[in-house]
Amino acid sequence: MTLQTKLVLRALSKNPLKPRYGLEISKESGLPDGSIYTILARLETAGLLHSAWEDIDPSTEGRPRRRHYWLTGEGVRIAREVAASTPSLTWASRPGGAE
Amino acid sequence: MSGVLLAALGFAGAGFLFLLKFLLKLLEPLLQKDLEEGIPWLVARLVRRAARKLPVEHQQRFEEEWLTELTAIPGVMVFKLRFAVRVYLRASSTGRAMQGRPPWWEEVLRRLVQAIVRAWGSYMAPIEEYAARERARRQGFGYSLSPLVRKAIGFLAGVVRGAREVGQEALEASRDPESWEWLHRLLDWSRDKPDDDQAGGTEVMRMVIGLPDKTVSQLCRTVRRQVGKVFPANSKAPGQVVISGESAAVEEATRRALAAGAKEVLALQGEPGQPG
Repeated sequence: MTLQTKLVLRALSKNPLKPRYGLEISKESGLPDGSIYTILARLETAGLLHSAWEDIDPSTEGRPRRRHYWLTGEGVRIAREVAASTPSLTWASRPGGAE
Repeated sequence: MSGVLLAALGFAGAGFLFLLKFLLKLLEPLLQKDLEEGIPWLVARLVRRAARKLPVEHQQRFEEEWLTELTAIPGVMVFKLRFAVRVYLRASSTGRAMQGRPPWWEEVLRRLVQAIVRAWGSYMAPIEEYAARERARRQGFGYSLSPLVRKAIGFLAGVVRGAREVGQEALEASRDPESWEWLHRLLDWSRDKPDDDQAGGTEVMRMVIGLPDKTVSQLCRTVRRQVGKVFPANSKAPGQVVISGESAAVEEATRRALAAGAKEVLALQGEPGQPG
């Protein structure tokens, strides 16, 4: 499992049932925006993540609907394991990352 | 003279700067308009192009998702452009992830390992066969080799066998799609590998009667690739080849030898190379 995947799982494990959209996840995980969709796709293919369109009326809300992601049961289990095993993991702590 | 030249150069430089400033002033509204309209156009185009790199069934969903995400990015247009560039650069990997395929670099690495192992195997197999034959001869038939040569052959056989097993394990492990797991498995295996000499007692022998030596040798090679270790250990006479190796592999080689036209396959007992 790559560092980025662990960071995404850790971010999602903080409130596993809360649906989040891509930018929110990248902000919470500390990863650059636009770079997490590969990880989300991989986790979704592996059955650790669900995704669905937000149920809103765009004209009322004044914005387009977002794609929401949340962890499955298995995803929650694995994310908690990752969070427990890597409590101090950050994107900046990677080799070559800014401290 | 030099003073005049310097003054001329100064005038020319000042004139050039004045012209440049004038031109920029003239083009500024046009450039601004281009940037204001050009960057959003470029951002949308990058996102659409990125979506087209995905499997067809996901293209529409991700195009919509990414265009929506763009509306949520605060700040100047350059941030949206940065998002679009990142999405575009990673779109191929995202597509591979959706198909359950490993990242491209992992696939390249795996193919590289497989190529090295294949090359390694093709060089090592003949040496290993030779070593196995020599080992069988010296054990079973009192082949007249000096003790030093016997030891050297035994050592060579052990080294080749170990190296080949590492190679085979690497090849098998490298087929595992789990990211980097194959490397961990390989490292764990090399630590936990039981000593073959201690394991002992699993080798069996058969004598194949009625097939040319070359056919038996080819047959053993095929079985080695598919089932397990089996080698032509000794050729007692034309058409009489002793094979030895792991019981499952020897069984399979026996079955294939009979299917290939061997008259008989006799079970032998004792050390490889010894007559039963």
